[in-house]
Amino acid sequence: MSSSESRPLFAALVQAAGGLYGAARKLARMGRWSPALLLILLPVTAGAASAIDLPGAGFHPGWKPAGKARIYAAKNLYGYINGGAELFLEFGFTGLTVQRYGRGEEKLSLDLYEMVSADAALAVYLAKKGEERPVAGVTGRSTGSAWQIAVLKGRHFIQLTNLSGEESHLPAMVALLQALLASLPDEPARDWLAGMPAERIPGSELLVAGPYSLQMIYTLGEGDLLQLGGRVMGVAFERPGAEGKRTACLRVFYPDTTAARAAYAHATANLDSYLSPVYAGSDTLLFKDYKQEYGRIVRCDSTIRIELHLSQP
Amino acid sequence: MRKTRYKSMESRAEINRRDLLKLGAGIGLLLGTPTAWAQEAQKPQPPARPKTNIDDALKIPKTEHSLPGPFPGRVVQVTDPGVHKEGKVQPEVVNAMFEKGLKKLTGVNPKKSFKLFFDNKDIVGIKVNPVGPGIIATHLEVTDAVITWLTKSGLKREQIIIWDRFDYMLRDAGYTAERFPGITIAGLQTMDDDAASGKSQDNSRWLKPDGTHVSAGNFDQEVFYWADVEGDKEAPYLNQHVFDGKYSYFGKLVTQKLTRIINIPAFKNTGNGVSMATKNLGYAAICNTARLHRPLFFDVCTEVLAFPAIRDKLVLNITDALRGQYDGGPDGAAQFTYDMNSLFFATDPFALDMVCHNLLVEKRKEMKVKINEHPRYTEYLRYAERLGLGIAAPEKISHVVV
Repeated sequence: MSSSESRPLFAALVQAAGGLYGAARKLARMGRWSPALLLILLPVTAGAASAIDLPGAGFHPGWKPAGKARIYAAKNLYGYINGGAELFLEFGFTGLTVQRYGRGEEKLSLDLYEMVSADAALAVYLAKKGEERPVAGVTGRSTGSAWQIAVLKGRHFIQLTNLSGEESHLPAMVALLQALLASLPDEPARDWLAGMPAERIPGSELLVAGPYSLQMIYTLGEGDLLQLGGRVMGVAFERPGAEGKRTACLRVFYPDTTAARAAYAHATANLDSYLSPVYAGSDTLLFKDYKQEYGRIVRCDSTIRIELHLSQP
Repeated sequence: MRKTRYKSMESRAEINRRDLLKLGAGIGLLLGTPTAWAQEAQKPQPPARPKTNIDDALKIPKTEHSLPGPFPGRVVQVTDPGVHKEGKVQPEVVNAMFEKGLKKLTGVNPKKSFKLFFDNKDIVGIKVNPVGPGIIATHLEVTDAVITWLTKSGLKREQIIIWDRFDYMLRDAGYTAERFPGITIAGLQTMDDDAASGKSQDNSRWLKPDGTHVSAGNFDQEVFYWADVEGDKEAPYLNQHVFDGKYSYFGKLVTQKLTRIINIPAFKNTGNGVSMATKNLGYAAICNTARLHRPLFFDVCTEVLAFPAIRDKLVLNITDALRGQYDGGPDGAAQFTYDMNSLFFATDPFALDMVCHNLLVEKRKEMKVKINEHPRYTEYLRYAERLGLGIAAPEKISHVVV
């Protein structure tokens, strides 16, 4: 595999530093951490962005890179995915490389997102995957079709879009992804479902790390109600409920009991105006929502457990 | 309208949270110790909604063409599975769907429908949605059907302008002069993608020596949406948004050139809400919008449409639901798209969005996608009804399926 253009991301680190500071400021606004402290912590979790060679010409007959790769740091991400940048930034975003490939008028667009950790990449993948339909020939975790394929590997989330809309490009798409995946380091994410109840609905899991990811599931209030701040993560999943309905469960794992207590206190004190509290104790809050369904927030040691869409209190 | 003459918006009717908490505390007393309520008086309040100049818009008298138009609350849905054949859109079926929908909405034939909305001197802007080309964008065939109607009714092609905020998005989606001969294709602004991505440090293609954006002249600094939120001062923001600060100017195309607007959004979500008729204009007729997303998001879709530049010119909305996207929006996400084979017609964009929102929610449930049905995601539509711009109450909406 030749590389038409080496992609030394470290060369973009100076540029990315500005974005990193921007991300630190955002996180600081969401929580109570100082930007300076976050700047110390973020590179530790992010590590240095790795140098990865994007596939050049020859991965599939007739296809080759079209133009130069574009590299987006955090501060520029809105320029590429205006309505979707918040989710990436919330989970922890390092950089995006966009490379188009062409064969005559036919075009593919490869978006390679590098996240700060395998957990962050998994979080994005779970948020984007929908019903998971693995693509034959793509190694690793993937879903999609001839129009668009999403892939997860280590701390990378990849989205390959068929801009021409021709179904016949699928073999080229698979070949391109395979060529790319071979050069991406693997890194396991945490097993977020370990210890979770067995009667989960398969494929319903999501990770949350702040208000943008939480609102995919539910609105508990304004802002970062659970004080996740992009640094505390939780796992959400669904379980079969009464009358064929589903209940949603969320487990948030704080670094210690003090942090969990503070988050619980913040949540109960700032509960959304559409949620009517029914009972509040020092560690348990029960509420009724706008659909006349019940929700429960329980703090236990350093964990907050939330159950939603309950038909009974 | 002068920049100094904005006024803050009055408080909008909301459920009184304190009352709810008092009620909850009362119930809580019966069940246990309501320790959390003791802190109610000290608890921090959520940030106030930023002030805007909506009052300036509301002061201007309406015209006969003002929203919600002649058919408030009426939404017509035309569906024909034959519109897709072997993965391709069938133009003749689109034309038939268009004529059927227009007739059902207005009660008269296409020629008479034309006279309800236009005269032969009008300059008609067709606002398309080019985001997500190849996956979810306004179909060229639907735009063709609209153009055919207008020209058959007596409008010349040079009186028609296909427009969006960004010129490069129109190109990517196939809206070119070659594809639409004789029709003007107009983006309100350009953006240097290389500079926006950080690939190039050369700002000369979008930034003039005097420090202004090359597209600054395309925006009307006498007509603006003001909100008490600052736009980012960094170069990438200015590149994408033309202006920073607290003013979002309307495009001159909208304020000075167009006399009527036809809106053709695509059927898609944005998070838990929809990015359809009202957002297709609310975030595209003005500049400097990224600053508005977090504090005002959907309210912008109501308030921008309250300004005469839109309110008095937008005469017809056609939501292109030949394909729909129920998740992953507003960008294209192919795994969430499906053949919906429908076109929606309304003069009232708020009723239209409410109908489409509810249909999208049902689709999300059907597809087992996570769904957050919080009322906040449709509150802007009820807000529009309170402002007299449209209908949002389900019992007042007539959803006619053909």
